[in-house]
Amino acid sequence: MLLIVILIVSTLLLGYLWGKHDGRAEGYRRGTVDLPLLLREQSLEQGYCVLCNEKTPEQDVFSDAVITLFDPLAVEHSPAHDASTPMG
Amino acid sequence: MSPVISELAFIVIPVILCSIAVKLVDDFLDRDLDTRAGCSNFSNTFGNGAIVYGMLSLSLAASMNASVSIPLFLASYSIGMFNDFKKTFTSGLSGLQESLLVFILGVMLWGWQNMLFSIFFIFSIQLFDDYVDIYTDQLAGYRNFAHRIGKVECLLLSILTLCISWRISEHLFPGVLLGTAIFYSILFYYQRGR
Repeated sequence: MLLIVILIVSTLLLGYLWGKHDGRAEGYRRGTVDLPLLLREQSLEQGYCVLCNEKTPEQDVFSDAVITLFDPLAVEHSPAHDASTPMG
Repeated sequence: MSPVISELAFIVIPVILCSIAVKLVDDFLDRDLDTRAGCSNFSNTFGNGAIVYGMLSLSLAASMNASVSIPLFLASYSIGMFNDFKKTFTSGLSGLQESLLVFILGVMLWGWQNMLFSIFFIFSIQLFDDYVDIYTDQLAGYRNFAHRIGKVECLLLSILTLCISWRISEHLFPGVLLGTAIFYSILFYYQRGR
């Protein structure tokens, strides 16, 4: 009986350690993928781009940032983007 | 008194007396740490006499049942030293060396079964204590086992080592566990709200 309890607790401990190790690796991988996007989103909300270090136009900055996250090409043709460019 | 109760008493009482000795010595060594964390410490009550009362308590425990109390005390010393295994002590030996030396001496003097049982039992109590005291120790700036290996791992390892100690000596385990539980209950009652 006692041996079975020892076996169960050992298995629990090993499973927990294994899961924690794998979870940490998976979390790091996901963080590496998501972090640049999150940083870019936050920087665009504050009025500048973290990649090119240029100020973004104050009007409609948030909608531009959201569009950029999902479809970067759409920004170039959005009305707000066109209005802010000298030729637009 | 029936022989069974008498036999149990000759395990439980020495365990309580040995626990008192270990607690007094530990409090004497951790005075500064406990003062910083604002924890109660028997050294503040007994002053330098704490160590003398600890010796007295261990002598009484050994007089009643040496084969239980001395291996438990040696195991406590060994586990305590293992906590600071890189630090060099007054003897010139590192914590790890002292820990191993005390363990080997214990095995030579009291047999591997007594010593192994004591080591696993004390390690289990240490882990459980660290699990409970994780926030207090964090306040004092001390990284205990729960910090080092994780809280859940600490609790599971505590249960595992307790079961292993039970497997090693099934006739000693109930008495030693009862003695430890009584000591901890008294300690919690005394230290409540402090």
